[in-house]
Amino acid sequence: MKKMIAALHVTLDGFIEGPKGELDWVQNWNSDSELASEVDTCVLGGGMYPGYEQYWTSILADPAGVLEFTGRPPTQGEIDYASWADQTPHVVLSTTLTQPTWKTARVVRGVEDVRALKAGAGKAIFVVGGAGLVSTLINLDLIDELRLTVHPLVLGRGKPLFKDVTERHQLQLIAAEPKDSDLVVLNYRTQGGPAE
Amino acid sequence: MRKLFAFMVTTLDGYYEGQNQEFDWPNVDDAFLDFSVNQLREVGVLLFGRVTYEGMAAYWPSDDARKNAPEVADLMNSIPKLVFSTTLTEARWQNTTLVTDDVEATVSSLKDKPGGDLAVFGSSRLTVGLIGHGLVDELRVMVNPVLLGVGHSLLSGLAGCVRLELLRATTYRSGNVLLCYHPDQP
Repeated sequence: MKKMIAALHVTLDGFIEGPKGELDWVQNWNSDSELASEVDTCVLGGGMYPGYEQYWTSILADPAGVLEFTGRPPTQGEIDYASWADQTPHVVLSTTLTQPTWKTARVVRGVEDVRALKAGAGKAIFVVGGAGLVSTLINLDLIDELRLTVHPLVLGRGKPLFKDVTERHQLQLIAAEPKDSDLVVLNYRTQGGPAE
Repeated sequence: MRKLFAFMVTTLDGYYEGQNQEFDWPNVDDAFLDFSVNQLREVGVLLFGRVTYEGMAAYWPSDDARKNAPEVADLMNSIPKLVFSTTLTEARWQNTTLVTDDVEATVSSLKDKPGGDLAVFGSSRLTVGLIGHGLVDELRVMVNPVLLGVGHSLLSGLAGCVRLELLRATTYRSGNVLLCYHPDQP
């Protein structure tokens, strides 16, 4: 059984996007570089996949270029993540997307395919997002660990990461680690996850 | 010039209460009570909005509170308090003054006076207003290890994004994490 780790960027008030989809508050999309060594597969929702593919493949194509999405060149951590992602299988859960162009990605149609993936052996699965997929997997008790990078800002309103979570979930804190740039990584085990 | 800090207890999904005002989820252990006592000892005046005031005024003078958390109850009852409201006609909790005047002017002039810290507990709407006026020096959020899915967001109604500087992060055995920030001035 593979462990599933949902690792996402949130504001202090728990939003993953501003009210108009703003993401400009994320200064570095790869603040959790330790994760790459623990996982061998990524899972994403169909809503976020096209933007994800566009972002990381444009870094691969031109590591020194200014990114359209952020208006700055990628950080070294982002360049490393892009080459890692280029070698790591990505499973995209979507009922509408056709086959993606990135060689490491494949589309699956149902959450049962994700459950089957988890039943396999090997390193952990990195659940990249978005909010809908994370909520679905939490509701099905398929997430073992949550790793939230809390960014130093409040938005007041926006898209809540856990908006579709349907019932109360008690968590166990593993660690809270301050990082550079006033970030804090909060790491929790869910009750669905394996006890240690 | 004294400091004003805002203290809120939230879930990991950023709610200070559930959709139906549920507040049965906060972890209250000895470490939390110790933290509360130490925090209150720094406070000169407690500031409340009406809703939080009503909840606290009903609880802290009660026998239950005196039994479960005697030291906290003593401090909560004895520290001078202000409640900002345009609908209340009186404030009966001991050492409480009802303020119907302008919040910004009242708090600004209080900050200029000597004494212990000013502290806002809970009171989401009051905190949003004070952050907007640049009057909050420190935002302290006690994040509890629980997800509710739906609830009332800690600072909803904020006019826009407010950037923060991390001051410290403290971990408790209960799984609570206290995150303290300095808000950038608007």
